Amino acid sequence: MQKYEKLEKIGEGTYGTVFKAKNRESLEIVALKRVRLDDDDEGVPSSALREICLLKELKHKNIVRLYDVLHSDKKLTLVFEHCDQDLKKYFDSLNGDIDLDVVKSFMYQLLRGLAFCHSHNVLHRDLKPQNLLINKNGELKLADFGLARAFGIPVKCYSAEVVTLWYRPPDVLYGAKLYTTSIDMWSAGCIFAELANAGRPLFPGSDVDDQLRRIFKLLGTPTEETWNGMTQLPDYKPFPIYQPNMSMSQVVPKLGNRGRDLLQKLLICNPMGRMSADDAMAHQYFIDLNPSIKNDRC
Amino acid sequence: MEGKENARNRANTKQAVFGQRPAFGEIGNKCISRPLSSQISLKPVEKPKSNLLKPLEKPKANLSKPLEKSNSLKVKKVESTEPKPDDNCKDDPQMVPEYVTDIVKNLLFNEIECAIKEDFLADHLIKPNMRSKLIDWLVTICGTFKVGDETFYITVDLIDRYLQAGNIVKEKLQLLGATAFYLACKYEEIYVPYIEDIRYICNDIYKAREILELERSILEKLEFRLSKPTKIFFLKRYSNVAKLSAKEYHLSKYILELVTLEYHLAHVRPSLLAAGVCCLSMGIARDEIDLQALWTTSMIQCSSYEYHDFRPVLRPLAHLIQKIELCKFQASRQKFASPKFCKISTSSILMAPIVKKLIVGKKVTSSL
Ligand SMILES: Nc1ncnc2c1ncn2[C@@H]1O[C@H](COP(=O)(O)OP(=O)(O)OP(=O)(O)O)[C@@H](O)[C@H]1O
Ligand SMILES: [Mg+2]
Repeated sequence: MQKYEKLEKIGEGTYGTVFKAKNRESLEIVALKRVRLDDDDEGVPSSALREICLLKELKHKNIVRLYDVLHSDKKLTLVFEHCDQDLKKYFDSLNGDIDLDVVKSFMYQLLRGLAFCHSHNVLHRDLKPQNLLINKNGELKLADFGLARAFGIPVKCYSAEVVTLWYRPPDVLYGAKLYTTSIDMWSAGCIFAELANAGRPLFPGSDVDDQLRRIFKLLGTPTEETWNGMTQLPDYKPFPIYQPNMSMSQVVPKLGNRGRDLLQKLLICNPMGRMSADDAMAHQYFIDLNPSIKNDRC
Repeated sequence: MEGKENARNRANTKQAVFGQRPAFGEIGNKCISRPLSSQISLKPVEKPKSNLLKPLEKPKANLSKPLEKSNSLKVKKVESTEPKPDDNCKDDPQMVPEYVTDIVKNLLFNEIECAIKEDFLADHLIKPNMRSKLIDWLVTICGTFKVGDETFYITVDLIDRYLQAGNIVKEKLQLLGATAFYLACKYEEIYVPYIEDIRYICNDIYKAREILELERSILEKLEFRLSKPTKIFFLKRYSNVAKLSAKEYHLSKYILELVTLEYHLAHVRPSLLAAGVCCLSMGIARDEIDLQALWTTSMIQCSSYEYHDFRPVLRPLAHLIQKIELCKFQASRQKFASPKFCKISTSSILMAPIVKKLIVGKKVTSSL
């Protein structure tokens, strides 16, 4: 008899299907991510291998826990702790209104999970609301490590074909292959704005050009002065010089001054100037964060 | 999808790349010295996932470029994917200054788990010199596929841990080496060899099914714990803090690679070996006998090792340097004889006074 009883399908990913399931013995509810192996005959796909190997070492309150791996010759099943829903679905249920304390709490937990990854030399490289899981009790956890990887120091070149378009930083949009932890910080910034606007994406571009144009229209087109090395990036192409046309108070009207300041420090086109997760957690914006969330260490 | 673009005519590739090769049993110390990487078919694995919201960009031309990573690197002036240790890492984002201390601390903590036990091949069908031979072959394979240093060290680690977990017959040793390499590539590399090419490097003596079965067995026995700090990770860190010159760095990498051949050093903590190698390399290159003086406070701090902690490994290291000249495992020596590595393995500095001083006295057990 099978160890888990499938209850319902909760997600369809690129390399498999996610089910809600029940452990027949302990009755615990889990999430099963099934990866088929028969597609090509190349064995365990890199993405699944990395997701498993990395999550085995990343045990943290704000990172989805991998309980077990079931490996047969036909399929690979990842057994995760089950969470109530992903952040995207949560947004869809909001009707445009979000409690600002929730924004702060979610953002803090996102940064804390990210700081943990970064201090364990892991880049996530696919942060977006669909890959953040939340629970009714207010917890948030990073999930979907299928594009994540460990990095060495000094960092080497990795693929520029990472991060979903809307959350991809300008350096990577320009084809940069030499990136580090700052790659995730841009996505975190985009998600922060999306949280503050109750689920309205900040830069919903339709292609790379449109994506860059949206970014530059909002933040101003970077120059070689503000971003040394930009014009030498592999896919660099010049854009008109846009002046920042909106103030942050228009972009995220509900967010206070401190929140806007934090957002501005995350959304820096030049990766060298982008704030780190650790520094962001220490930002003034979190000064009045509910202490029970702050002290909730893993 | 994207992967196809990168796939070349493999039938031709094989011919062009490998020509006629003997089976592992007879490979001995043969080394492929031609630059071959551009002809090997590899598939990119770091590709974007289809966007839930919007289809992603079509793959760009750069995805299908050959492995010459250095060409596409225009962000900073760096000659290779592995920049030389830099003296000023505070402003260098590649050195991840805000996290490097934490990362090293976490990895030092991590390496104690899944450690290799001393003499793990006792009572094993696989003998130490067979292990050395396998690793010598893998040095060549890693050169052929032009994979990064990490991949080689991960491969060796997987082999040792798998052997530690159970016996295998010697006919399967090369299969283990090739499969461990395949797994290490999947974990670490942007481009991964096709299973057909893994078969090919073993002269087609194993079936794809055998490789996949062993892949599963390795993952099961090692419980998917591939994320383990490697010797080279620590060496890079220490050599950076020590501000090694390019030549000194090549020397340290050469000695570290020799270490992997030596069964009697396989159980030593990776970070400790890296510290010893780093310190000895400085002594050799700077013609300094007083190694302790080279191990400064900042080295102690960044490595957490005092000089006396790694002193015991210095003699075996010196012996390795001397022994390699006459032993039959020559792949690393040939590799580091190239101008790219300052011909360090044939340099006369290897017989520096400090090496001579360290090798006097009683013999050291060696698998070479
Ligand atoms: N542990 C979990 N608890 C609850 N829901 C989950 C869990 N894991 C995944 N899901 C749901 O399944 C979806 C897909 O999961 P995941 O992102 O891990 O798979 P994927 O194959 O990498 O997906 P994609 O390629 O679409 O990003 C998530 O967006 C989420 O809605
Ligand atoms: Mg996902």
